[in-house]
Amino acid sequence: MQLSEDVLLDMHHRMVRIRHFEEAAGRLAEESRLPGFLHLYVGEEAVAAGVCVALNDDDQISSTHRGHGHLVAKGGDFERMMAELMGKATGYCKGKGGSMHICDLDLGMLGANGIVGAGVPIAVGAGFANKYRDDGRVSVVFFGDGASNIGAFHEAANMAAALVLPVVFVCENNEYGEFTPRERTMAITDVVDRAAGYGMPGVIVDGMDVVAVHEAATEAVALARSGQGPSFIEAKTYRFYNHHGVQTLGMKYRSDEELAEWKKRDPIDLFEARLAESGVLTAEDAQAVHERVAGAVEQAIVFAEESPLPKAESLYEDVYSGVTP
Amino acid sequence: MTATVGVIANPVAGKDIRRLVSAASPVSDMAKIGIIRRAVVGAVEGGAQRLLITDDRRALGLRAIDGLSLDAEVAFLDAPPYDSGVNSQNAAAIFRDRGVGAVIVLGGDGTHRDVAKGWRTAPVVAVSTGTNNVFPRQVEATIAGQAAGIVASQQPPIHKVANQAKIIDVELDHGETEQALVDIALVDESFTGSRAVWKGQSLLEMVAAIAERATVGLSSIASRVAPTTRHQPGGVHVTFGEGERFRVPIAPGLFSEVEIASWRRLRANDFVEMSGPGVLSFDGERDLVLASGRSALVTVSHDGLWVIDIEKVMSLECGEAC
Amino acid sequence: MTVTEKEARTLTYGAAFNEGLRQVMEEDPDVFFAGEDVGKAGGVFGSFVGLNDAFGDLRAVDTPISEQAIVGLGIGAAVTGLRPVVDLMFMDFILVAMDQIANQAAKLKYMFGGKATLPLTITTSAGAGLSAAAQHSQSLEAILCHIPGLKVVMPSNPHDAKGLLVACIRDNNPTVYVKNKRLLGLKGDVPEDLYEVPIGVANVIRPGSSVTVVTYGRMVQESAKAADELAGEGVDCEIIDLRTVQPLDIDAVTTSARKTGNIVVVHEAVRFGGLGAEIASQVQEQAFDYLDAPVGRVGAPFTPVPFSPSLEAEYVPNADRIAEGIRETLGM
Repeated sequence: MQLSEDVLLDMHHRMVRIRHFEEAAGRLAEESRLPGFLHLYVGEEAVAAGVCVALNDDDQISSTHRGHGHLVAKGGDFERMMAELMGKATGYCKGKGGSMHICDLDLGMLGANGIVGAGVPIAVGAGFANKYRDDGRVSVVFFGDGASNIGAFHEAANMAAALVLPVVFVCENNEYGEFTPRERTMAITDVVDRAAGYGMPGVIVDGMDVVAVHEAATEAVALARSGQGPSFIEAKTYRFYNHHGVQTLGMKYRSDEELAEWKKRDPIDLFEARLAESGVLTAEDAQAVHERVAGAVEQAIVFAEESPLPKAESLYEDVYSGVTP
Repeated sequence: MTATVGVIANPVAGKDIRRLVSAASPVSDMAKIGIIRRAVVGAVEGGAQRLLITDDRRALGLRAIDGLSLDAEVAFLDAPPYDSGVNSQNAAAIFRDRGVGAVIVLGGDGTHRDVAKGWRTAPVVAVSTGTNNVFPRQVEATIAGQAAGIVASQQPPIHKVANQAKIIDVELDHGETEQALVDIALVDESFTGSRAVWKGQSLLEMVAAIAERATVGLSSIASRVAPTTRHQPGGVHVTFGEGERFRVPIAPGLFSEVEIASWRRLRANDFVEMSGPGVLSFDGERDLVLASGRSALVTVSHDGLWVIDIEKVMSLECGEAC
Repeated sequence: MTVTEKEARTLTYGAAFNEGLRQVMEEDPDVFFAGEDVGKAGGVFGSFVGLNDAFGDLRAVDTPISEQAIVGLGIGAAVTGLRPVVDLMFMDFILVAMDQIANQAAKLKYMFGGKATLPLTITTSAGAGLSAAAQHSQSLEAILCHIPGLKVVMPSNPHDAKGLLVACIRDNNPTVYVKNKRLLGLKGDVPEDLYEVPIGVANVIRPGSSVTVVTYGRMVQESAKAADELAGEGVDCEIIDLRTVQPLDIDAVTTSARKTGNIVVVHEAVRFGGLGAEIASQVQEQAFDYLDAPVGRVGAPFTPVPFSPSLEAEYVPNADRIAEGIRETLGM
């Protein structure tokens, strides 16, 4: 069962887009050109890309505080993203959400979320709506290992299974809840062990291998779409930068050796090596993709910087739909 | 010599994509910890004076012995930063060097393969915790552990209490070698991806050392044309394509249609050459990309792991054998 | 909004709620409801009786006991185009779901730069007086009113119970609809037609000249009794039923305050930090010169709701205590 070249190149393109956007955001933050918190997705690209390529355009995803990658993978627009990160009026959220609330409902991206685990019940709600309308859509919820310890996750996982909803739970297990290693906060190692408790099938995949993620996502999405209810994918992955920002806070909570080991398995490097070997994408062509994407990111930065700040009166807009009381 | 039992527990066995594509049940860490604990208790009861346990980042072994008061010395092997089959392979090699008398292997076909790669003729008690296993059988860990303890402490001639398993050797054209215990297949894929092979249509050809009818997985395919038990010498070579169609249990709860173009029995040391492009799967797991123009030589021989027969060992304990 | 009211019949508050929900569901296929025991069982107070039979499991959904996930279900469904009603059995339980209510439902639209629309209704039941003790009796509306993005209604009679529910479901914002448990059996005239009582509009249920009593929910009934009692003492109470507590119809309150010169706010919730404080503050900001006395407040004491009927009687404001509060404000 060969994956088509289109699918392979699409996954590559999405991963590269995430990487360049995040690297640029990290640089801007280091230069104090972005306000607020910044949770970078670098290192975890294979998860968002592998899953989103398995989705239709009208399927939904809900995301986390580390949400840029998910939006990019769902087709997010660099200019509006960068403008939002800078708090500009042209941003996705008109400068009212920022990094942690970035979203594009038109793309089915139901929002990053500043509350750990809070996106899980929302994605389950979207899944319910899909079942209600019988429109064949699937909702995917991305969440971390840390989120699997919060009540909202457990409630929503149980509900999705009990109501047989078309939802795929994708746990990005990057081994750290903020700055604390997983083994200090969980008595189990594999979050997927929890799936059985809700009556869901669960699978572990190598989150640094986009093809592995994609294969699992394809199967899970097919189960959901055919009315067989939710399933659970745990992707073992790693964040190359800090919980927040690039080097921010300067906290030492993991070893350089550990980071170096994981970086040897950079998901983009691994994939490009395979694509080159199999003749799908030469190193030169890959380089061209990088350059094109990097150019688009630079253009987005210019757009964002030249964009106006929100007008003061917009502070009072969008609290309510309809006439503001 | 100190009676030493090694314990190799694969932390990632039983959690692969077959959970999604078939009705395979996952094996949780807590279940594995329980299995290790029972095996360790059994090993000490059987006479083990020293236990060498592989560990990993999840500390399955450490947690398994937590709170046990064991009349034996316990040591752990260092853990790599992430889960990998290399862990089991390295552990097996270390066990060989440290004079381990019997190894309790908790895992599936893949884990036993890793052990064989590190110590080709290791004396193992094979306990299944994997997905659809052909090599290890379902056995209660307490008794498996006890058998390992008896073998390590009484050191009976190994051929009296164990059967030597077959092993499939693969020699790649640039000299690298690989092993499998049950089957090796060339599949029409470009990526190792999620590892498992569960689509019959993707098969190009395979060699099975074990082709038993009452199994699930690729070996069940070969059994339809040339049943071969684990004790018979030689294997089976099957090529897929236009020919006779069969429905086979390719994974637990999942039947898939395969079309066999040709097959032949292999005697020990007969060669089969598999040529790329494709991905080689070892014991049902895609593990190695075979690029276009590259090839692999496959042979089946009968000089692999010594699989301890628990029944025989327990009889030994009763003084009926040896 | 045009309200065509056919000849009214008498229905209980609970039945009016049920009828309103049924009629909106018949009108709009995007409306469904979900919650604990609301499907097959018809709700612990019978508010949802018959609806599961009428609309089936997909529109009358039994959920696990999972308040966060129940509200999340509503949010996710609302943001993707449905018009959910989710029920939290007791108002006390909103605290279990507070992240989903306050951090998610209330804020999504704003955080998303206006893109999200959340036509979500959260229904719940408040109120003491049933010996349900401290975790099944609270009136927590002040907490909700403090959160921008939410609307909160607390109907006091069967007519409003139906009309406000319809308005909430049709509103494109997250609304919290708070029933009072002790009003469920209250009978009153309810038009058969589908109609709305507009959100954010108070109702002067009794005109008067001596003092303005601002109240909502069950305390409307108690205030009316107090007004009857005080009428014999020459005090002519004007009673304003706020109906909606967020947004607050402060104009109705200040208009009346300017007329009567005295104001007493009555609510069942704890007095400290309650809506009475906000109303008193706004009235003195806007109508200070018209006031003859400081704004009076009648509310529950600063304790949890007790269990024992004798203690609970001490706790919950009633007509006598309201009358006493009014007398105090009037210097009687």
